[in-house]
Amino acid sequence: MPPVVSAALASWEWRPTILVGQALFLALYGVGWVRLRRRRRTGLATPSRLIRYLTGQALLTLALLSFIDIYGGLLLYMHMVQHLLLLMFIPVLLLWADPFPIMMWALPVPVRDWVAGHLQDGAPFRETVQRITPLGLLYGLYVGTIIVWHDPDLYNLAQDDGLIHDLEHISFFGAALLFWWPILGAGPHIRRRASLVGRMSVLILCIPPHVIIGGLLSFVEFPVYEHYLSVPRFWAMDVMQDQRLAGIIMWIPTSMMYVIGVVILLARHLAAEEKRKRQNAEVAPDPA
Amino acid sequence: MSDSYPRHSRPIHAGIQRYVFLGLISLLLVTVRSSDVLAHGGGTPVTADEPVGPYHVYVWIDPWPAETGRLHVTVAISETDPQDPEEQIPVLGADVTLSMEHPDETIESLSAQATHDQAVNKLMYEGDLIVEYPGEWRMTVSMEGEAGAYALELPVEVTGEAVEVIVRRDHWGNLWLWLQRLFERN
Repeated sequence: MPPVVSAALASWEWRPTILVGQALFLALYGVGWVRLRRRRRTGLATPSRLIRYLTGQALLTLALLSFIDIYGGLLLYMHMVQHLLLLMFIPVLLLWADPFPIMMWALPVPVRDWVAGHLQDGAPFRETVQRITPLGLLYGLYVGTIIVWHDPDLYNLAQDDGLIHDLEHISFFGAALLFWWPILGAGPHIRRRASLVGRMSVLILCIPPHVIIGGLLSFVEFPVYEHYLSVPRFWAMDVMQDQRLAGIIMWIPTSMMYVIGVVILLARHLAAEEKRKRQNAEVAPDPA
Repeated sequence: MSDSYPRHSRPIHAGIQRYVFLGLISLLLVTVRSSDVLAHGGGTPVTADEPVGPYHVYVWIDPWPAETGRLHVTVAISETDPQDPEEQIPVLGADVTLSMEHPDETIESLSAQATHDQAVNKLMYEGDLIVEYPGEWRMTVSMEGEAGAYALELPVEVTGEAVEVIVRRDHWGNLWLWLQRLFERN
């Protein structure tokens, strides 16, 4: 392997705050999953859910601690790859593993009671969450967060200040978890599940902002983010080539992901319908 | 609410809310404490793409404006790709020394190595200088690679009170300094 590539791949930053947080959530999920398996609650604690959760956590480590994070400050396209992971792949994998009910089983009984008490019908916390989490609002938060952080001034500020950079990633990841939560139907089920058409519509509506930002980055003739003018260009890629590639990543693969999301939702809906019809046919009396 | 997780009728523990609240606040403080983990190991660009002999040199200093205490310096060195004169490639494995001199000759000069091992980004070089006195210092970044030995000089105005920094040399002291540095970065 060329020394430059091996040096780049060896660039990892073991940040204790992230590692401790991840270890805590992995422990909660692992303990909950094992407890459920021991109680034969295998419908919830499936191996596939465990694999999705572990994959999501592994990708989170990769996105925040590896060369992807470190080189995001030198290459705009690498930063876009990181955003793609934080906004789409990681939240989807984590929520698809339905972590909330599984982690509840890892908690001590008093804490479990305390959490369950806040999620019961009529609890003020539950009612507040119901009020502030309609799908449209979560869509606005998700898209708004993406648009705001791509403002050149804010982006440059985030690149030059570690704290603001962390805040950017926390807000991306937080907004993405909230957005994908009702789409995937993960627990806790506080609101009535949004309709299939509603969920498909918001996914489709995510495409235009990405196309606009990605298109702008791809077609403008000047460097949008000044930060990248002051860093070394090591990879045979000038600042404009880097920006164009970043724009294309934001535009095409990201938009494709939402389309794939719509197709998966539709396929799952059709499969569920098919299953329901089969069950009805089995229950219905034989006309003969 | 999902009924797939257990619910119990035992009374809620009186202190739980407080402990959870304190836990969340602690987590928030630890997160907020995080700072300056950037592609170049932190700091403000002091010079960028500066030609020094065959090299192009980038230097970041943290904190900037410089203050007495520990000064963290990140250096990136690139050179023209022999196969494509329009492209830059990183210079790896060079011997990079940071030194600082104060105009008052009674104040001892400072020197430290900047290495890949200390760097977050292994294509760069990082090192620390302990500056105890304020004043108009002159920093020299000396680099010796396959293309030869060259140096870049930078004026660095250090502000703040004179400090005495005790460098611990025992194992526990080194561990403490390592942890301190880790958390300062994070």
